[in-house]
Amino acid sequence: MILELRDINKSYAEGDGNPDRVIIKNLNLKIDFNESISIVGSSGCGKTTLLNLIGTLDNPNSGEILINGNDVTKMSDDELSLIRAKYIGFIFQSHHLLPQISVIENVKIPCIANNDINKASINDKAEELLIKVGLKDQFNKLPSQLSGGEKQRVAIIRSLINEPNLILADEPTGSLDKSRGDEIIDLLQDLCINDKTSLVVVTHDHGIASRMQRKFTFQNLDFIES
Amino acid sequence: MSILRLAFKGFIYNWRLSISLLIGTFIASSILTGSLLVGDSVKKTLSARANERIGLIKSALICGDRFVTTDLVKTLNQKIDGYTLSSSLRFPGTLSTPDKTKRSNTIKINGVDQNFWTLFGSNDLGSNYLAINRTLANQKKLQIGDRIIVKFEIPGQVSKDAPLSGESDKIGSISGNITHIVDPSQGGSFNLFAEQERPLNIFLPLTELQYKSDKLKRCNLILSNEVEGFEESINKNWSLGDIELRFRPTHKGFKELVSERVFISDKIESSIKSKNPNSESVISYLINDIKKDSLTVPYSVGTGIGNSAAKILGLTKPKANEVILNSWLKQTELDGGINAEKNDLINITFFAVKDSREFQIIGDGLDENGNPTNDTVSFKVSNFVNEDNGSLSMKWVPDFPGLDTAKNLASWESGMPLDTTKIRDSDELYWDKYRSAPKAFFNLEQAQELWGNRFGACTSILIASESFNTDEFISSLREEINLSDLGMSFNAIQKNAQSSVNDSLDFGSLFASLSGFIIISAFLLCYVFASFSVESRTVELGTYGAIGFTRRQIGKILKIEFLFSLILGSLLGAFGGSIYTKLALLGFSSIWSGATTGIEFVYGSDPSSFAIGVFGIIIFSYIVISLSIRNITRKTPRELLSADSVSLGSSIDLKVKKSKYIYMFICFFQGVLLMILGKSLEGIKLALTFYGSGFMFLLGFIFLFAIRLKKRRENHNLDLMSTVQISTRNAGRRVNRSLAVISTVALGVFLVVAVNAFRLGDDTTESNQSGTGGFEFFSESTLPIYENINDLGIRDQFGIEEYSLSQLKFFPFRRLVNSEEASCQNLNNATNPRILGTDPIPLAARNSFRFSSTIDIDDSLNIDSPWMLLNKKFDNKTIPIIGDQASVMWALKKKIGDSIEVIDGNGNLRNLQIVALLENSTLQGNLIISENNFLEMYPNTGGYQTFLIDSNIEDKQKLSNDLTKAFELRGFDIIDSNVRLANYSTVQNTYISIFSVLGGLGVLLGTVGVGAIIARSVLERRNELSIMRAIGFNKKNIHTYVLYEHLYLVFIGIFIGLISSLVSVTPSAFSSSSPPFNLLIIITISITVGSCVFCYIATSLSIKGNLIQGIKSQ
Repeated sequence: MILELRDINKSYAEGDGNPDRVIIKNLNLKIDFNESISIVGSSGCGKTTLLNLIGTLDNPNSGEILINGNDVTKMSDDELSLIRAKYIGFIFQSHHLLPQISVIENVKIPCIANNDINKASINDKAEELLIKVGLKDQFNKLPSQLSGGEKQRVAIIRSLINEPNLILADEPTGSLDKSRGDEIIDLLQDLCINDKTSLVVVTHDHGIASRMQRKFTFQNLDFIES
Repeated sequence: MSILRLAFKGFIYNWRLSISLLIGTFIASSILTGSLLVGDSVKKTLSARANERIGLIKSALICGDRFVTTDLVKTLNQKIDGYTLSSSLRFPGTLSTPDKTKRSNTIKINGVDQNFWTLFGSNDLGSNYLAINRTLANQKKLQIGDRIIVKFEIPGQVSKDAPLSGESDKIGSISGNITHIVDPSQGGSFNLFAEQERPLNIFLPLTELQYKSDKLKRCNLILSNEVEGFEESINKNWSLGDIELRFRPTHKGFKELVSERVFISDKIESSIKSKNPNSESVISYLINDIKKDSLTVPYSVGTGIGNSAAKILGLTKPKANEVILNSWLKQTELDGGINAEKNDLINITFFAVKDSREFQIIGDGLDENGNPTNDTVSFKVSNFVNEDNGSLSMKWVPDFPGLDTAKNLASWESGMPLDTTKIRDSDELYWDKYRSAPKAFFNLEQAQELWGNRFGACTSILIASESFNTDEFISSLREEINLSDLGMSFNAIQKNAQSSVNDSLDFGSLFASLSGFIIISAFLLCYVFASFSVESRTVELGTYGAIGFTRRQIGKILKIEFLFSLILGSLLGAFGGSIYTKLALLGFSSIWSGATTGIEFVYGSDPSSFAIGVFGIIIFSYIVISLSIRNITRKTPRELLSADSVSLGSSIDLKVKKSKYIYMFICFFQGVLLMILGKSLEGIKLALTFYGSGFMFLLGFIFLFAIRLKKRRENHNLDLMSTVQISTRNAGRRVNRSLAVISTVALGVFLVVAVNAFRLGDDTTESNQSGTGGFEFFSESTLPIYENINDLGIRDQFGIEEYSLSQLKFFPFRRLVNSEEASCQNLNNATNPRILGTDPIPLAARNSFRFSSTIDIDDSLNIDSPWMLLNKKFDNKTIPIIGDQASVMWALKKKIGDSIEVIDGNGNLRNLQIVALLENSTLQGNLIISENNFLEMYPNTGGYQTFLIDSNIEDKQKLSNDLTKAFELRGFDIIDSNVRLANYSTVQNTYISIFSVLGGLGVLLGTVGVGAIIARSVLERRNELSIMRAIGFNKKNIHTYVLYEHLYLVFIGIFIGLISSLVSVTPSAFSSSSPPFNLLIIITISITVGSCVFCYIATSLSIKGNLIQGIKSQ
């Protein structure tokens, strides 16, 4: 099992003496390798918060998050960075490519954070993946020279370069039109789901959600699998 | 891909920030490097000056008022290989042209030998020349062929202050056409002492000056190109002639040693006695009257004798209070006697020399004011010596100046005020028959007590000639006497020159501190730009975190990226520093020349200055940017990814932390505490305490406004119905950013205003408590004035008898000749500070000058005026001194209570303690001791060379002209005290001007920072402003809204800076030298107007464009 969430609770302080705002309550979730899940819900229901918790970008108020059997809630900041570098790949709604470096450099950038990546083969691998997503002639372009769909494809490749066990995609098609969005989902399904990797997609789009193997919905603090 | 490459890509991509940081560090590095290079340039200039003034000279024997023989130099040149020794005569003098259109009172006349030119690596000028140096030529516009007249005092055999030293006005004169003009590189600027201005030198062959000054085969300066063994060689080779002693024929069985200086110094006397126990002193002196009842014999020589001398005369040594008279006195009054008989009681009177060749008659039964006293000197006649006694024919008297050449007694120019009308024919008859043969012999010890003085207590020494060997005698004497014991000084010229350069005022540090505010402002700019950069890149940084970069790695990427700018900026700053230095040096030669009178600077650079300037700024700016990214790299990737730059910097926590209140309280408390403490202090301590107090108030106010800004945000009940209210509340959105603006402006205003408060005004008050001491004039003479020029009779001699004592009064000071001015007008470190000696009582009685501080005065001393501390006796023979605060603090780097060690005229190391400091006085550059201590330390220094002049004459110009003319031959320079004071004030004021310019640039940089903050705020809040436009605000409203918000901060900064600086200048506001309030008001208005204009421009530029577009894009 790649991921297990046990009795997760998360709330935010409102300040000025107001009661805390509860976002996630007693949430439990297990994801196996080679599994894809989607999480849907209305705005502000806690989808992104959950994704951040899974991606170790945030800590729950209580509960355990096990990635590859390790409880990440007890880990130090540096250990969490290592977990992210080794096991997790992020795809954001807005690609978040680094504007100052080229496409291929953006793809290779996780290798700086992850020493386990084979540096010798990283270039070949990056090129191979970029060719695979149709960006053969775009290696040395800057992100600003790409279209929205192309940028998102680069972001997907970047999330895959370190061969993570868990791909977390937050509204990966949110900034794209439907046809481009579908392309991206196809790509995610093609590239991300295999023996070693699972995919978690947060989306508003029920169509995209339905394309995942399992679908969860946030509703009034309930986390329901449908 | 590596972090380095990633950072480099960031450096290139974020080029605007990179350039901003680069400019910030470039400015800081330029300023710091430039400041240090200014220091290097000053050092290089002083070093070059030192080299040109001493050439290859490494050591020198400075003979003071003594003269050694040139044979000594010849002997040493022959004995020691590799040495180049030069003998010179160097006198002060005056120069004029025949038509009197050109004149200088501060000339140095140098009679030099061939080796002198060798010591400067230049060619000998020949055997007949009259050369002047380039400085003199330029200053007086003299050319080769011009005729000049040079005058100087012909040095006497003995100090003019010594009794029987002869007439005081023997002036030598040299006239001729200028044959050469000697450049500094050729030795033209020869000077043994580190003075800021090049000397005005005249050169002529040594032999010629020896002839003109009546000092054949003599010199008063030996120069050497070696230091090792110099003193030892001289001390092993001097002859009796070098210490101005010689044997003269005397009675059989004895050798008689006499001095060309009339009196044999105590040191020589005691040394001879210790090596020759059988030697015996003799002292002869002029007795004004020998009286028996109503009978009197005028002007006779009296001699104190011991057993040996008595034996020569066939007598026994007189007992105390007994006298052996010449049988001449047995005669009747008509024949020149007093009818003396054995056991008669006789009285004698004689002159005692007071400090200024003012003679007091001892034994006449009157005090100084002519009132009767018990002052009589009586002896019982114990025996007679026959006037024809062969032994009387030997010379019992020394070679008193003028004695040998006097045709008769009345024409003897003894230097004493002899009343020649008293001299009778019978007295002249005695003179014709026996010349100066003594008429009375006294007990030696008693005579020495009566007539001994600071120049010595014997006039000859008798040594038994049996088994006497002259060479052995001299050798044994050399073991006892070092020439430095006799007032000559061995001077390690090169070492002193180096130390006067190395320990000179550290211009590098001074300039760095004067420029400190620019550097701080530049760093603040770096901080602001770096903060803006990281705040605008939160998502990028969050992405790094999400990918798996640790916070340390993220920080590293940013730091390396910024380091490219810092390194590049700092390296470029090295070049900028050179330009800054050249501009500063240009300033010193033009608008800031008041700080460095008389120096043309050369550019100098030391690699260490570049290293410190470049690496120092890299390190500091690295710390600054590390601080600026510290907050952002502490945030989690989630916070970074979810944050926008607007929310990131603004404080979510609206509560004011208690610690802020505590800090504010501590700052204000310390400010008040320092003010209370300062009330009991004086001078610089008072000023510094209030300066500190002002600074604490500044910090306190910053905390107060930090709290106020937060409170303003916290208060939701504000009725925000005006643009101003909204603006001022907005200022609390980013408290740290607002505080950066407030702090920069406040600090700038505080520093510029507070420092300018120390600007010295023209202290033209005639109050005795002012910097002039209430004296109208300050004057210095090149040659000493020995006479008491407060005496109306003496004034008559000088042609200024028209001025009565109530109209014109001189307050004379003795001056150490071979010394250096220790003031801000001499950039060199004064290794031989100039010492003045004066009677403190008249100054105390006038309550002259204002004191900035004194040592703790014990009530038991009953001292009314700090001047009287000069008469304080220390247990350990420490000499109390008073100096000017600025001179002591800056030129000597000392403070009240500190000690200064000097070598006195007897070669002894003396400890001087600073007991009081004068506040901004005309006496700057000098250390003042009591006249008694001065004479004890420098017994051979005669006359007065510095004068404070009190007058109530309305026509000051006429008085000045009259005095200059009266003392023309002494090189009398007179200056209005206010002008002299203003000259010194100019130096301090110029430094303040430099600070003001640099501080003003700092404030300007600060306002650039404000401008950047405005631009940034507008950029961050473009949507907000768009919405305001959408809901009906016009562009003018928006402009006002943004402008008020930042003007509010600027005004708070100015207010805080002004209030704090006013606290710091409070003491001077209540002192007699109030700060220049008009100037302070102008500075404040300038800063305020400048800031407003800058804010206006920055606001206008920032909101340029179509703000509505922002809402459309929403």
